[in-house]
Amino acid sequence: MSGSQDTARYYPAIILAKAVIKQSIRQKEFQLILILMILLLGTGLIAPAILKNEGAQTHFFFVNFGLSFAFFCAQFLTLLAAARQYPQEFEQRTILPLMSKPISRNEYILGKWLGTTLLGIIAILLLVPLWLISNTITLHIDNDIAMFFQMIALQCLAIASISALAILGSLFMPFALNLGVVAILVFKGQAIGQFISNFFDGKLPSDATQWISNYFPVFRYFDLSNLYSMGEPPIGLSDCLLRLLYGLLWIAIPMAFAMFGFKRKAL
Amino acid sequence: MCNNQESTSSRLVILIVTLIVALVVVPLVAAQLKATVTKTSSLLPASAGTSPFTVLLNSLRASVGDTIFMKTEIYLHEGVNYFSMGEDEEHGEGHSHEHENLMEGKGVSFEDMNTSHSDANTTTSEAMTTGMDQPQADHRDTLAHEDVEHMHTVIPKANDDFRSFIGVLERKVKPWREEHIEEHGKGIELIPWYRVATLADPHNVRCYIIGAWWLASADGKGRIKEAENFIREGIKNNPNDFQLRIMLGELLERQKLDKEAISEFRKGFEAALQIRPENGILGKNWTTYEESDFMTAAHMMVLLTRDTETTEAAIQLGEKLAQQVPDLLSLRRILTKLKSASK
Repeated sequence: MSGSQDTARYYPAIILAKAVIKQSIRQKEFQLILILMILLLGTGLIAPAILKNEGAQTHFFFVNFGLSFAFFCAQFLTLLAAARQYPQEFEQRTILPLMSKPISRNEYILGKWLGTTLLGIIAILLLVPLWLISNTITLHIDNDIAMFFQMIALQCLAIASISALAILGSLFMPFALNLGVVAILVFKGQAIGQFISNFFDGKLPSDATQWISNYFPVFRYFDLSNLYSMGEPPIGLSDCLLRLLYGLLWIAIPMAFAMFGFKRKAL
Repeated sequence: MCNNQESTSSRLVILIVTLIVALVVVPLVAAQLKATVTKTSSLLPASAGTSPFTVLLNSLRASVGDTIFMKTEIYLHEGVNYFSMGEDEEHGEGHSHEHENLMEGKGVSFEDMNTSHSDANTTTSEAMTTGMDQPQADHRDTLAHEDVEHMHTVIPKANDDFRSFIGVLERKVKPWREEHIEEHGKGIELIPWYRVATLADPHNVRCYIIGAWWLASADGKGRIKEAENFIREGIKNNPNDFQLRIMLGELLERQKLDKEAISEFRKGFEAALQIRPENGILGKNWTTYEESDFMTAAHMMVLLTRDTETTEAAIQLGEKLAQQVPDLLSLRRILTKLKSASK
């Protein structure tokens, strides 16, 4: 009890994060996750049995399909939850009583980010093992366990980045626009970078176009599901650390801007 | 007051540091990561990195591209997508040759694209027409004839039809070709379709080549530049395809950019050399079309070197190429002609 009170005193952000998770669980998004879980479990159990083909391609397809689906759902859920936090509270004016409590603006942003990130991680931890268990029963999966943890860790990093980007966007854009912009950045960031690189091809030096294209986040770097599905061994330490650094940058920068922006925002 | 100032200045410092990190560090890390991921990917099997979703979507895109290509082929063949037999057998055979000619050299008849070099004993168009070794050419003719004879048709041939008069009736009634669109056969109208097909499937090399060929032949020289750009886009999307390089060489040669053309022919020749079976034995992955293009690249390099430099330089290059590909008899024939001309 005393420990809990200490936590409440020193980490208001954690309390806020808990509130975000509780609030999200009560909303329809979480119910959607439950439906997806049942669907995944059902598909994972039935589909391989119906197809009666235990070849490498079938194995690859099913493992990859479930993982891609689970990651996509978790990312979208995080995006949805993070993008609506600030606009909802601002519209309903619930932000005023909240900010009247002993909580700083930075802690508010941190708490919202933490809550939505944890929500996405919970979604991953519910969906992915469920899929893999159902697949293991039917397909006897014995892919590399270290690779599995690497994959999950990088996905958690992706979730945290998406949450940070969506929270930053929500301070400056209406909900729908923010949702669209961040979704495009997350799911098509690489394509935009490539498009810009092609657009300026010939007009600017190629190094410059490459440099510009690198400003767009590439979430593919966090997705090891293809390699895991193929039974590949874990990626090297330097590769892993580089991806980690990339993820941390895409968390730290939006969060820093969000904190700075929120400090100057009139409520 | 003092605390407020400190807080503002520290916030400003944090903002500046964040901006620097965002503007400098992120692209650097991204570039490094891109290089690392590319390096890692190159060590994986070819199928790595292609998720089932990508495979499904790609096959859909390829299907769109192929369907458009087939439609353009039907249009070019006057609306007939199968060859008539029996009474129209002669037409069918001719049709087959026409098709073969069209497809020669990746769907493009290079004969049509060549410019004669009047001051030469051996012209580049000769190089194209005499390009193929005689036994191979004979073999091709025989194959084409056999193809027609053994071709499976939608409506059975008279001697292969058990339906008696019903078959005769069908052959009489069913239109083999639609007369009202007989005047078609010009591919200029199809240029937008080749554009769409390559947008749908950027790896549809045939559409790039045929589209560029029609563009180049559309309005004289006016659209050669467009054709060149189209082919260059194809090369960007398919950097390993040697036929696109050779087509680009052809287009450059038509613009009198002989040096650049030689460079492209060389790139095409070297890329082809990587995949050409030993002694150029024809097979599923190396057909007469590929062999013909390969020979074109070799011949054009030699002949353009003769035109831009000297006959001696061309002979020297030709001998070097002949050493690389000893079974390319047509190149030896050209070399013999060049040698006799230089004496």
